[in-house]
Amino acid sequence: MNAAAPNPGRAAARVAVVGLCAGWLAGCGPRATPPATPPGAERIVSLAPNLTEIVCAVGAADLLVGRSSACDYPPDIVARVPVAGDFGRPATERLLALRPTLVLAADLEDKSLPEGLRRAGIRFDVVNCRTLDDIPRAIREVGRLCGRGAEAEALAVRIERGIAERRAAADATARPVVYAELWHDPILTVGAGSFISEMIGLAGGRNLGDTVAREYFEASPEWVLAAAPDIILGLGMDGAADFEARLRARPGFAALRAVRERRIVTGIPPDLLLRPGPRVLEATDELKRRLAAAVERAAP
Amino acid sequence: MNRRIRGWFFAVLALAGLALCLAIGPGGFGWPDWGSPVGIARRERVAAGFVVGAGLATAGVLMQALLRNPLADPYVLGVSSGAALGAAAAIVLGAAGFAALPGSAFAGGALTLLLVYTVAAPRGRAPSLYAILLSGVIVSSVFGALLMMLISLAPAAGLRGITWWMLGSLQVPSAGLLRAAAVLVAAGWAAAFAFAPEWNALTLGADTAHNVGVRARAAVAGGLALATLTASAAVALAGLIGFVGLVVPHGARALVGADHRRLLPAAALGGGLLLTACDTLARSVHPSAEIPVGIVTALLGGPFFLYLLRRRKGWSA
Amino acid sequence: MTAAVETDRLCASYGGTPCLRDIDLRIPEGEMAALIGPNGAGKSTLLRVLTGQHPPASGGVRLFGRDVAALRPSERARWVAVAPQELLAPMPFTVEEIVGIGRTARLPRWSAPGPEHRRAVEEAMAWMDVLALRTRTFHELSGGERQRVVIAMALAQEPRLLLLDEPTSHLDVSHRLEILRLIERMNAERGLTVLLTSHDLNLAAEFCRRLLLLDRGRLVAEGPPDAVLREPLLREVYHCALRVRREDDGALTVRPVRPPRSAAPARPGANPSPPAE
Repeated sequence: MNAAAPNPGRAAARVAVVGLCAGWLAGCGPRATPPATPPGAERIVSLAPNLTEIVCAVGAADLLVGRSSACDYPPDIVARVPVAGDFGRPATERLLALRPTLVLAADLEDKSLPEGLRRAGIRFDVVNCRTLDDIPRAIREVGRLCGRGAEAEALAVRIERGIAERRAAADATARPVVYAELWHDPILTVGAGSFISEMIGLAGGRNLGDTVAREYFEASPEWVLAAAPDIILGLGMDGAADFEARLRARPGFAALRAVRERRIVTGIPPDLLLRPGPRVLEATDELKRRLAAAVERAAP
Repeated sequence: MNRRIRGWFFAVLALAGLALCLAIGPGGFGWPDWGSPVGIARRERVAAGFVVGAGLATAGVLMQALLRNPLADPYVLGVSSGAALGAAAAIVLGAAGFAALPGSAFAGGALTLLLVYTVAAPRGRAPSLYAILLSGVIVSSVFGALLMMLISLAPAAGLRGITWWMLGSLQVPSAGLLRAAAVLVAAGWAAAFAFAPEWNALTLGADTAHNVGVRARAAVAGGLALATLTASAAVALAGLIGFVGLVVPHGARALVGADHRRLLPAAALGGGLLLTACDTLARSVHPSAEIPVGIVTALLGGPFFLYLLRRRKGWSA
Repeated sequence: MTAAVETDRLCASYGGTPCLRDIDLRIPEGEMAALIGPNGAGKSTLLRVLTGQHPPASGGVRLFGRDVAALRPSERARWVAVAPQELLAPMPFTVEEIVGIGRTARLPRWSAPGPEHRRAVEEAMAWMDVLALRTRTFHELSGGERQRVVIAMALAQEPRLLLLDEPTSHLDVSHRLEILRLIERMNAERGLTVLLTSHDLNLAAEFCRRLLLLDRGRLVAEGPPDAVLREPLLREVYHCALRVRREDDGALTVRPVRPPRSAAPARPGANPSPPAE
């Protein structure tokens, strides 16, 4: 130790440098490894509606401690499980306050969230579930993550079989052309890359927008009219009640055969039809039933 | 070429252009069967383009005359922000009925003018042009902020709807709305045309207008009201389409001169033609998808305006 | 005979500040008169009151016997025309169109204008010698040409009374003469009553038979030039020494008098004593 009187400025600088290095080092180094959680003590937060449904479907509903504001099925979790943010936009403080051990998300706008969670010792997993074939895979993965492997496997197999059966049935029949409308102003429809297109296919129809490779796009009204679809499907995000009235008022649409003969399908709950999740088979059957009923309405 | 002859020549050209637009669609070139769904859709679409374009151009002519400023456009006094706010409120509140959106957009635009004029008027006297412009800028900013707030609260699908609406779209919800807008635009234009001498005089200033026998205060207020009427009707029908209201008056002036008796018909025709042509491009360039017409008007309007600026014949500014 | 312009104890103010006090003037029809006085005397304000643009605080203003405030704008515009000092035309109007704007009060609202309008416009342009410029754009013109166009626009109104606000202030000597000669012709040949404001006392004295001297809102003298242009009065009003002389050809001239070079420079506004004759 130096016997001379310390220079205050230099001492302050040294402290600052050492402090900075310490802080930086604290940030570096191996991540805090999350301690293995005993099964049953998991606290799961799901940030996507379809993942929430899967968690409940594999029997891990009691482990659910947080959900997104869009997660509304099964109905009993709405009252019981607190909200940790919006779909794709989690509220970080609320999320951390729930003390989760595992966070499941489908797709996150805020890419900094995973880093923050990992540093707090919370497991974070992105489970992509966007197409029909993703669903069984996602079920299995969620089952593994929640410790419900057996239930997940059973559900996944049932769904795989169900999808295969319906595909075969759909291929055997003539497919009506379905124009699916997502939004009315401007008119928005779904393309070949979308889940809805797959659902329509599985239910025995053919999506009009499949010529376009995008997930959804602003359609040209003339193109829809020229294609003269067999059935018009309102995807219910804008309120089913006056869908038909709005359709009729649109220039040219009242003259379409499908509109004149009222081959219009609306009212299927969006959370059933638009969500790639464990209820996919019920959704397909409902859609199939409604499409068949619409075809029946064709004038003799 | 004499201006009168140019005017008539342009009228013929415009009608030919409109006829051409009627023959173009995403499926290709050719007249559709006018009773078929495609035929009905196309003629209503072209009609909508004409009505909205004429309405915006008329409003632009009036604003430039009243504010004595060639850079004024129909939106300069906040009509756009007011109408956008009205439309956004309708979307966010989930107002039912397909007349809800255009109706609230129209109300928003009209009420904005009232607000701007009242804010600018000192204790009931007629406001100066400077005060009106300043008031318009302030009201626009405040409404813009409110609009951003509404957008942040909007549901996801509504959000996309508002964004597209702000870019402009000629997909009219119903023929009834198109007719209503057409009536408003036609009435507004006819009234503007009847008072063409007043606008001529007002471009020389309120003093000069007074001296040649114009009731300047009433004429300015009336002119602003007419401009807001036609602009709000256009915006309510088709959202915020830019450039047409700014550029077409200049093009028309270059063609037939600044006398409003010739300028108003030329601008209405020119605006209708320009917007219909841009929309024809927007709706036909891809076989099944559309691009927002506001993008086309900006891409075409911008360079055209630059060209007009470079000519700059006869401007004192 | 009815006077073209008659005011009766006219008072006017801007905001709370009075700028015209108790003005009693009478300009007979057919007169060519000039309003003179220093800056801020109220000349432009008086013109604005005469056209009804600025309401008087008290007192009456009558044009050809009718109260100005009672006249409808189109009526008034058929009687009184104003040629402003400066015209800013942001839109590319041609000369013919600008002159045509003068016809606004006389145009029929619901039908096409008849041939008399075209004729009136051409006549106005001919009077002011701007026919050759009829298709040119206003802003391309020189100052002198613009001034003639502005006066032509006023003439197109076919008024009985023409008010000109500083018609020559931006012009060089030859253009000043030109304009005033044209105006004088109109007054002489058409009986048009003319009231102009001017800073150029010499030209005002030369061309106008009647001068009205305003000082700080009051009419301090009214009458023929030799009655109004008196040295003591002018000194008091303009706060400087002015010499008034009658030239050999009978013209009256007013000239500022500079103090002799040996004297100390006077404070601005002080009244230097006139040098000994």
